[in-house]
Amino acid sequence: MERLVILSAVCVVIALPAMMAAACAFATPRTSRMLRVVYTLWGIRALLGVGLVVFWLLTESAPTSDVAVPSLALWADDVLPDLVLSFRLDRLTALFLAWETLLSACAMRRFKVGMSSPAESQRSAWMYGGMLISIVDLFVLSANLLLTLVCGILISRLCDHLCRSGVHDDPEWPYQEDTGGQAIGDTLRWGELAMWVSLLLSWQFYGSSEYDVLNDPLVQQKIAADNPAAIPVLGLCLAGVTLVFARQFPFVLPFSVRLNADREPTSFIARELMDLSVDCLLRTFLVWPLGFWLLFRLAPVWQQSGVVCQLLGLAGALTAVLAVAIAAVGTDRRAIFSYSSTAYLGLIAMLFSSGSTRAMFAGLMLIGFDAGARLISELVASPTPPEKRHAPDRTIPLFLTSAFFVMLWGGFYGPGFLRSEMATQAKVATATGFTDMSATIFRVFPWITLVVLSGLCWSFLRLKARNVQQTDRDDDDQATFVLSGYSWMVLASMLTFAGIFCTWRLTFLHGVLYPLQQEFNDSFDVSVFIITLSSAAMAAVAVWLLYRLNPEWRMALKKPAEPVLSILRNGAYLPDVWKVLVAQPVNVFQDLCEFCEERAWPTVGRIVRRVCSLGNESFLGGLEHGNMRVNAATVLLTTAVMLGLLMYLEW
Amino acid sequence: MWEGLNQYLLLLAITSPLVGMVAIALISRGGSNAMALREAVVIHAILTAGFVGLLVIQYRVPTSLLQSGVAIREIPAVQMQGAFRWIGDPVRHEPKHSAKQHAEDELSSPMSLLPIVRMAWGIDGVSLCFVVMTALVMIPSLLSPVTPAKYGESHAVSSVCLLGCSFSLLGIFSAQDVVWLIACVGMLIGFSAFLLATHGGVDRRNVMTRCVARWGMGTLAGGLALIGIVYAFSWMQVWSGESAFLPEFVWPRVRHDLVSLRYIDPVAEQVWRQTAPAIGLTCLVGAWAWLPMFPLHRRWISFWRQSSSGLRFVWMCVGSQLGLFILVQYVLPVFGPLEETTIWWSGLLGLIGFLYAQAVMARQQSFLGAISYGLIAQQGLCFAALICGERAALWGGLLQIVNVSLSVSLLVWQKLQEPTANNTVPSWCGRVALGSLSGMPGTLGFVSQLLILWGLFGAPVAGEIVLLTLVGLVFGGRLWQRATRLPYDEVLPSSEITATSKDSMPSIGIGAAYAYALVVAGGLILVGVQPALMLNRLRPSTEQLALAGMPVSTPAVTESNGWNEQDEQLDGNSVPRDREP
Repeated sequence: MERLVILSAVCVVIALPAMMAAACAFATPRTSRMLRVVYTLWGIRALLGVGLVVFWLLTESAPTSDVAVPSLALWADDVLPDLVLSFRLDRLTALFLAWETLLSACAMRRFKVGMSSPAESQRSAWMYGGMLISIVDLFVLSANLLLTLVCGILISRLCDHLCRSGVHDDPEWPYQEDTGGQAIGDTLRWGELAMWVSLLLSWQFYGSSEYDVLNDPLVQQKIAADNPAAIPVLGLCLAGVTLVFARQFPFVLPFSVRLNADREPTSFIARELMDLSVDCLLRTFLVWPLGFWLLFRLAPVWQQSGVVCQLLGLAGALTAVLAVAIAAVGTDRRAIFSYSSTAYLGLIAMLFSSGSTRAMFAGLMLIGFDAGARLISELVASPTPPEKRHAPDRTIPLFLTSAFFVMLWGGFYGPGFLRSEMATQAKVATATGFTDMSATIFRVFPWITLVVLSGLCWSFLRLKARNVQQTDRDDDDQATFVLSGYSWMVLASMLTFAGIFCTWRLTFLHGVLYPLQQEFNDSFDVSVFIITLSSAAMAAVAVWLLYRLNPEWRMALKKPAEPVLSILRNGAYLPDVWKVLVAQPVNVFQDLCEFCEERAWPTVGRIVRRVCSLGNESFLGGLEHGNMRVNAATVLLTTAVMLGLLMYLEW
Repeated sequence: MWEGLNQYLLLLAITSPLVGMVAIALISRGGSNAMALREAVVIHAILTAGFVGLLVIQYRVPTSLLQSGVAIREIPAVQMQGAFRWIGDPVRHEPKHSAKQHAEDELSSPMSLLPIVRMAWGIDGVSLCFVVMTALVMIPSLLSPVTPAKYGESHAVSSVCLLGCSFSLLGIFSAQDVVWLIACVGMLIGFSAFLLATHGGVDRRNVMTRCVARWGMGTLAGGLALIGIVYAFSWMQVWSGESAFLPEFVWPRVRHDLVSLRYIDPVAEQVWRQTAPAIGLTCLVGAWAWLPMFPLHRRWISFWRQSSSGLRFVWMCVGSQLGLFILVQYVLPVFGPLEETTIWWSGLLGLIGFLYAQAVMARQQSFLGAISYGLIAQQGLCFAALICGERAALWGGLLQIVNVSLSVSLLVWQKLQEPTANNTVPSWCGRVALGSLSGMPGTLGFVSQLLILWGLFGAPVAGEIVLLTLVGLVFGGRLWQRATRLPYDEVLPSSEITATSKDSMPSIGIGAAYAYALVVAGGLILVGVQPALMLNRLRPSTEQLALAGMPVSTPAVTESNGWNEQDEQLDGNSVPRDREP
């Protein structure tokens, strides 16, 4: 009975956005009553989502109770391993659903602008937005790589479409075929590619694409014994899926062939392409859940390989440092946001690769805080008129400081600092092939964490200073003391979820088979969480007070950034390397093909024709000078001759 | 009861274009009655499609196949041997006549010419795909705008020729006899050439000299070469001196039903192994003879540019797949299991063709050019999939052929409506076609690409090139998307694209345009969501085609009708055995 209730709640939660979006798109006269009904439905959905988790926690005491949703078999055959779409609802995904419904209900304040728009393009775009939310929900519930691939492709195409469609308020929509907007689609397609390869490889190595099988340590050991390269290769592909789908990493950005310094995708999207609401939608409902979910579902595979962990950890560290450097010298609010989220994801990848569960928990919390901060910033910015869109984001500090402390807690308790963690690391080294090199690398990670977080704080402080200077002082004074109710709501719910997660962490992480699962058995004091929380609140107040200081004092912070800025602007960067290594050979290949089509093949054809014409000059000559009926007759005659020849052969 | 019904449905589907031709000839005799002409055309196009649709619904594989696995010599097909039985030999009516005796009779009888024109028709799962494709594509072909004829030919000529093409294509795909096959190919080329001459493009003289003379002759020569190669290899078997290749064993099969060649027992597999490289080369030559090879691409495009819209549909969406049909239905069965080296080289060639054509497609500046190279690319991919010896890839290749044809037809159909600002095709249908071409989940394209990739992954084809293909497939969607935004053709004036002059055929009703788009888009989605609908029909017919590494189960006792009895009797000493991987 409980399962039935849970399942039906999940179905409603998933289906509602798409249904409401379709209703909004197709109903041409949109009355205020209808919009009110839509808002009510979003609220009901949020209640359902939160109620789902609570209900589950109340009714089920044993941690071994996932709800298995019946799979949908497309094709059952002995030739194909499993062409089956399977779902699984465990408590981690339930937690995600609750968080997502709450966020989307809060976001309605912003979304209603698009939904009630008279423009057809905006309404259809919001229809796609609703579908996107539904598919992201479905994506999170997928229990095998096939369904992940299906949802991933759909999400990729929907994002592409959302970025192309005219959601932008500006009538001169800057999207062009050859501009950086193309990079969005291209980058997402690389994610699709990595997913395809992962699916094929998992079918080949495991004979299955179910995550239960992929993450099973026993199966993994067996496969590693058969083929030592299997797990690292698959792990790299899955890590690639994660990274590319998170879409923000600088080392996936150069995949666009037509890159140059000014049209670099992330900043391009941030500055010109993306409407605020679309930006909000994509970042809140795409980057965060995808990153979170992919890391949690797929990490168990690549954590089995020390090589992959090292590579991913280094890549994440490099990404975080690079992105925070770019964010620190950024002069634009959206650019800073883009690169800050890049830095977050780099940090998370780094922490997850270290194999420490506390670091993973910190990463999870950080993603949540980032999404909340982003959403709140958009909510605060949206009611202001377009010329004042760069209004100060008052709630950012709250989230940032909360995240800062959580990260410190997670990062510094990671391997490299505590003796207990180092002992754990030694255990891992024997079990999964980590080397001394890994230990050395992991020892640097906490310091990188510190550097990156400091850089983020500094960049936001700079942003704040600049914005305050730009904005009208009177408005700012009045608005400073008014924190949006939404901000508090999102923050409080985030912290509540964090508390729930910490208290029943074993329950929620059931089914996520980590190699270090025994680490969860260590005593974990909830009071640590409470201390973190209170520190966060205090730090928030402190930072907020800091923002009230004289803006001219903060302008002085810009000077140290100049050298870094010049290096980044003038120095060699990945796009150049990409251009030399990949883009130019591809262009050369295309030129070659074109040359063949234009010159080489016709020449060859001409020579062949000359040779042939020597033989059949008399026959074809008559044909070429005859009229069309004669020619048609000739063709028919030839057919007849051929038939006759055949019959002769037969006879 | 269903079997009997199927026979009649097939007969009705194939002959309804013929009836249409007669009806149109009668209508147009009494003067130009454009409205009645259009109605007749629409009725016959829909009738054909309806019969084929019923056939698909009613298509049943013999139950013994589904229950008992694979039988070596069983033919999972709906056969129509009896259509022209009245001119055939009376031997077939005699059930007690032994098959061996029958074969001897055929070899020695002075009346042996008659059985040749027996004209056996039938469809199995493979040809079912192609028949469905043809019936659907003929609708836009018949309803598309007609270029005004300069030499006084009425539109009836165009309609009659297109219906003739439809009849020929249906005949090709349902042929179970060499003569019937060649006759239908000849008719197809004849009708196309005539249509090209009467309703061709801007420069008919150019058309005649370049297209008909060279393309037509080249195509005919290719067909002839293909058949010649088949015969040559049959003779090689005879000359090889193996007992299994005695003329009385090979000839009746070659002569009567090429399709049943796939059921030749692999007694002399060793001989095949020795001659594998030559066989692989022959496969390539045979399959690509009817395809434009690389140097011919530009001529292919110029052919499309010069032809009328209806003919463009015929050759773009169906005719260009003829080579692959020949490959899967005739070449593969004849040559049986391929050597791994052969598969490797063939797959390499096909996939390089795919990548090459996509690279050129990215540089095209017109819709026609981009679509042409896209089709060429897909043919390379399907070629690799069909020949690689994996069942999954084989199914995927067949589904991809159907997918590409129908999706491209829908795209062209939508593009044709654009210049008139009378876009009667709902935009989401065009998006479904684009999605299907780029492998969007929920459409047929996703299923076929998944099957192809999985098959290629397990096949003895270079892994690197498969990965490159994957890159090409994933990013190919963007190329198709780009193609739809290009102008139709940089050379053709818009009056050639849409018939706007007063003597053009009455415009297509919104209903017809809408219905076609809905049916095709709905079909793509339906099969994409539930691929088992098509795969269940394909599966028994393809069991014998994909042989590399596929152990085949021991054949069960088959139902004995005249057809199978003959085969069993002919090589009674050879017991069907499992094929080793």
